[in-house]
Amino acid sequence: MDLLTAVSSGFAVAIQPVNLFYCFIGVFIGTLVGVLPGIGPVGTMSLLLPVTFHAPTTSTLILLAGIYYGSMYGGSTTSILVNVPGEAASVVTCLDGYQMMLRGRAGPALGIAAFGSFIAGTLSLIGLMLLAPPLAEAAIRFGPPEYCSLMVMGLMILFILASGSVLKAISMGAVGVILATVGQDPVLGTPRFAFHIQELLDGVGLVPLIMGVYGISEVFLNIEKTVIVKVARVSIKGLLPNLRDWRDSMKPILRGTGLGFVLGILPGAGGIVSTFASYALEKKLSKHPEQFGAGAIEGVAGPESANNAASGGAFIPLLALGIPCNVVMAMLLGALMIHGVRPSPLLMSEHPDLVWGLIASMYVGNGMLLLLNLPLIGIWVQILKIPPGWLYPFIILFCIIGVYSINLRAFDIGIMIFFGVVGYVIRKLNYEAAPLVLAFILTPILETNFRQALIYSKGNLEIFITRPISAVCLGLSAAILLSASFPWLKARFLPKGNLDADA
Amino acid sequence: MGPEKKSSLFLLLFAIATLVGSARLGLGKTSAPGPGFLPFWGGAVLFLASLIQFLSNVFSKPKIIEPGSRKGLFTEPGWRKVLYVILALAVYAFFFESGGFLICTFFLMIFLLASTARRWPIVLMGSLLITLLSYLLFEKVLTVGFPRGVLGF
Repeated sequence: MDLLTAVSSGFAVAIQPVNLFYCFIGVFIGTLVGVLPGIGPVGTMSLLLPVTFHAPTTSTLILLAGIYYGSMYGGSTTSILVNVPGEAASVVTCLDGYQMMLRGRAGPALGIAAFGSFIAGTLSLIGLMLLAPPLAEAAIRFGPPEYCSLMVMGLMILFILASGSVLKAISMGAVGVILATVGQDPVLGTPRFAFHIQELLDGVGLVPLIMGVYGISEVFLNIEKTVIVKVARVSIKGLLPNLRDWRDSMKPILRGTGLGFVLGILPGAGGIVSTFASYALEKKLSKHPEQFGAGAIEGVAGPESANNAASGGAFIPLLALGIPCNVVMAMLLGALMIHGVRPSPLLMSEHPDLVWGLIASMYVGNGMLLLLNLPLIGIWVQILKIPPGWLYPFIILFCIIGVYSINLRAFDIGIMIFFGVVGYVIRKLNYEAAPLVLAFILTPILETNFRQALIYSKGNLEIFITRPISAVCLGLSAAILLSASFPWLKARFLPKGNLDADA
Repeated sequence: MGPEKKSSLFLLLFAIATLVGSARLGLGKTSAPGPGFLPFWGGAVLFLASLIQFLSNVFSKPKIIEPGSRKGLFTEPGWRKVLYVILALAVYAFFFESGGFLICTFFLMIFLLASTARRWPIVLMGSLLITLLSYLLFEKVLTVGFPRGVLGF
């Protein structure tokens, strides 16, 4: 299928009324959670995962992806208006966005954030369309050894994914591997770590684990420290940036798009790092760096474009190779598995409607977001006035019903609460949940392919290094492991120190 | 013992338990890995990582902790509130099937809303409304199949 045919068939899928509906709901909820501090896109996606069980697979992906990129749009609103980032990826926007608001330029700040996001989102989709198919085509030659090595690489990525201690990330990854082995052995059927509990023979459910670690634990963390958002009376005039604003912002938008897209593809980097990198870059290139932090529009345009471009780039490893490069993509991968679609390099050739429908829906979703975020800005500001305490009972109830509806077992509610406590404790102790979840998802694929590869090679481990693709993946894994071991290299990828010093 | 030491020690013990459990399951051979093969390697990696963490915590100089920057489980003033919510959820999960969705959810909502709203009429009305609306939506419209419990519906 050539690119043009693929894109047009994708649009045919995306503009079906049911998919338009799911796309709208996704970007609407995404904007909402982006605006609301406290609950993030991952928590929301985990909340809505069970609701999508009866929905078509393509619609499910369209909905969940909409939440992801929608939250990137929505996050800027609170950063600019109340100096509270709705999302981690919008932290940088606070620096100049809020200053612009204080100077009576909230309108242009919101406008350029929305237009920049739209431009970046659209351009990154073009990049996704051009890059993903050749990558997937190359990956079609993968057999069990290649797949196994690819999963090993995915697990190594976990270490880069760590924003804190690498050792803690490795520990959490290992816990994820161990948890994934609970239940029956996939080859022999021997019960593993089930402790004679009938329900554990099926293993730990993906949905209770994700909902616990991200949904319930997020509620616990928010209950503990009440977030009070003071919404000042803000008059938002002139959302359309003027010619000078456009002149100042166009290059930062394009640079932010390129930077965000590339960093989005890289495992672990994602939206947050791209915003910091874009801000640092714009400040360095600016003729008036002293204005950064005092309301420079470039400080809003660059990072806001970067985080949206990163969300487009992050889809490439998932759609082309079946590897999630961040926890949001892991959630989408989980959704695919729940719907019986095996994520692999064959995804694009076996399910073209799903992949191209998803990509096309993101174009549609970007347009919807522009309409949602600019004219309805007043409504989003009002939403901030809802006391968070009123939201938590709903979130908890939604989690309970969602998790119960899968197997109609109260046991799963218990599992979810258990992982809610686990998620709360590990975050309090500065461990990260993402490596645990990613390892939990990747391990069953790794184990099955490892065993198949050994059956194929009659127990000869050399198969993993004699096959070129597998050897490359293992070589890259070793390189990733080494790079993660050098903190100085990590410091270069995470220019947090630079920003702190600059800001 | 600080939270860092405690957490790494806990993970170390968890790793040892996993290693023992995996060995009992049978590690097999490379030509035919047994059921304990993968959890064993997971446990081994966890053992090494947590051992390094634990030893580095034991031998590192104690850090000067600035007020307000202390990390740990019980450093935020609201930790008791979290504990009560966890207990309430555990009780909810325990009685969910025998008590039924309506009764259990109603009491859970009372508990959760009471911690936010101070006025009892609002708490009671809110809990009733949330319970009934969620029941109608998920049980009657989406036919989830909640446990009936003591009420029988």
